[in-house]
Amino acid sequence: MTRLVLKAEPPVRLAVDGLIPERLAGLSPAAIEKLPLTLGNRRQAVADWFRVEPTDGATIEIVGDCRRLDKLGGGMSEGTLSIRGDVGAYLGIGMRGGTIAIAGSAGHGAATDMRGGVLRIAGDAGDALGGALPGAAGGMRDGTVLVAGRAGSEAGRRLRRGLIVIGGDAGACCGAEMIAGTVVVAGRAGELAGAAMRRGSVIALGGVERIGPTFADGGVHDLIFLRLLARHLTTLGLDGLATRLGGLRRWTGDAAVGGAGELLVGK
Amino acid sequence: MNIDGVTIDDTFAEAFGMRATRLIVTAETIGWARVAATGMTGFATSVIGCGLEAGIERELDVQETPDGRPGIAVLIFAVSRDALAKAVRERVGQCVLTCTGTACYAGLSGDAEVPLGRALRYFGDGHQAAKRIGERRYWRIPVMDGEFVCEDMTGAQRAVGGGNFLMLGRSYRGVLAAAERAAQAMRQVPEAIMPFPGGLVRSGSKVGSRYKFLPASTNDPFCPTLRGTAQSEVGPDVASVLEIVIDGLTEQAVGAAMAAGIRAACAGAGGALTRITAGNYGGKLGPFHFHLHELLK
Repeated sequence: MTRLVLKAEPPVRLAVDGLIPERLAGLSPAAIEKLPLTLGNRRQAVADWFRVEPTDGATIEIVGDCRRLDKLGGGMSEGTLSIRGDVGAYLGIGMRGGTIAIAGSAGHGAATDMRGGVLRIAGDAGDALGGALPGAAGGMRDGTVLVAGRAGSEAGRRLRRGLIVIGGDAGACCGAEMIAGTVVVAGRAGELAGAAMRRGSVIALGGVERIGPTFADGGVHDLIFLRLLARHLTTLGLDGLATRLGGLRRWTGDAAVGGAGELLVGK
Repeated sequence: MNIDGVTIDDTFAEAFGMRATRLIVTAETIGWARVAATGMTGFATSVIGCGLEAGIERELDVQETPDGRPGIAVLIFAVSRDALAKAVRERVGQCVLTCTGTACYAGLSGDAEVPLGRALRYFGDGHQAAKRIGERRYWRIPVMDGEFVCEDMTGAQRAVGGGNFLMLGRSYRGVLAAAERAAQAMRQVPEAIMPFPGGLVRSGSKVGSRYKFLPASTNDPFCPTLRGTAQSEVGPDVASVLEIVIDGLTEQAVGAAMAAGIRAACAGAGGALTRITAGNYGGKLGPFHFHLHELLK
């Protein structure tokens, strides 16, 4: 479809939430170059920062050092967006569908307010993965987020629905204030995991740094729903992780808020 | 038409539109899945007396079930979506939820849905939890051996109920052997079940009776002990009659099951089976007509 090659690293944050498949579909390279972008507090055009190249595939590719590019794939609802390298903040914010795949790491707030689709991060994710917009009652509402590396603090905070899989460790407050949904941490979850959660599941296969006193130990169980989840993870290409789901200790809480969520903890 | 010495009547089976669903019941072992499936498909021979018709479609390998455990596919038929919903709620609630280690999933998508776990979740008394995995939603209901996992809704689709054929023969044992061969062959046909005990019916019925309170009564034209009466359809060479009733998700499934059953019944009948016919109401009641000669072409 289109390849966008970043000409140079922007001096300040460059918001590129308009560069999504449904917006670019059917546009010529010249028309794409005229689309607006926001550099700091200034309006600029795509041509100021990108070289636009037509390609044969159906994917939009973004090439270059994208660490100062924010809101990549923001609001996207269909198609595929591929980014070679690291990206800035709010990757896939408000995403509703389609697939975003990045070869590097993502900054703060990836998948914030996400409502559908698949977000694949080959590297690490920053803080507030799948979180809520400022002031919003709920965070990510649906969709799938797959992080191969580690995630910062507050992953899945106020998660309302959907699946977040973190291949490495997760920082503090993973799944805090969770409303529903599932967070799987293949590594170790930081302290205060699930703090103030109401419903939903935080599955920490490598253990939790410290489980709060407002969680009740329900013993070790081989839950049937984990087999359903394992099958689903297999369809996502996470076969190795799928084999580790089973025989986990179940902690229910957070009683501090009258919650009925669960921490399912390995080791 | 004659197959292996058995006369095939030039007639048709008349069948009716129904609503159906497929449920997948899994358990720790195939034995316990069978226990649950057998229980939920018991007392489910006829919508007239049971409110539903149900049967085991087939056993499922671990690769075919959602949770990777052995399972059974069950088909349930009813006259309407509401009746189907009631049947699903009662059968799963009493026979699957109660059976150790089981889980229950939707086995088809269909053009409509009826509640499955959504109707049973309240048994959790507030401790139940919904869990969405991929595009499917499940309920986790705490029970004494762990959790009962049940899909939120199951699909419902239009289906066909009441396909049938009758086997007439010189001895009870000979007809029974032919009927057993037929039922065995028909169990291999997907999307179809035989809701009566062992797949066979000895108490074929006609609509109405001489008693006001009874909507259906014995099919006296095919009762050998009434041979010689005015309405009898039974010739001098017939000592026993057995019927097989078929419900299917599609008209094609019912037809395929009937054809497989009739061929198996005739094969090696060795003169014990003399005639095969089918039950109908003159073609005025049911929209699906299965002409025996056409099925066996």
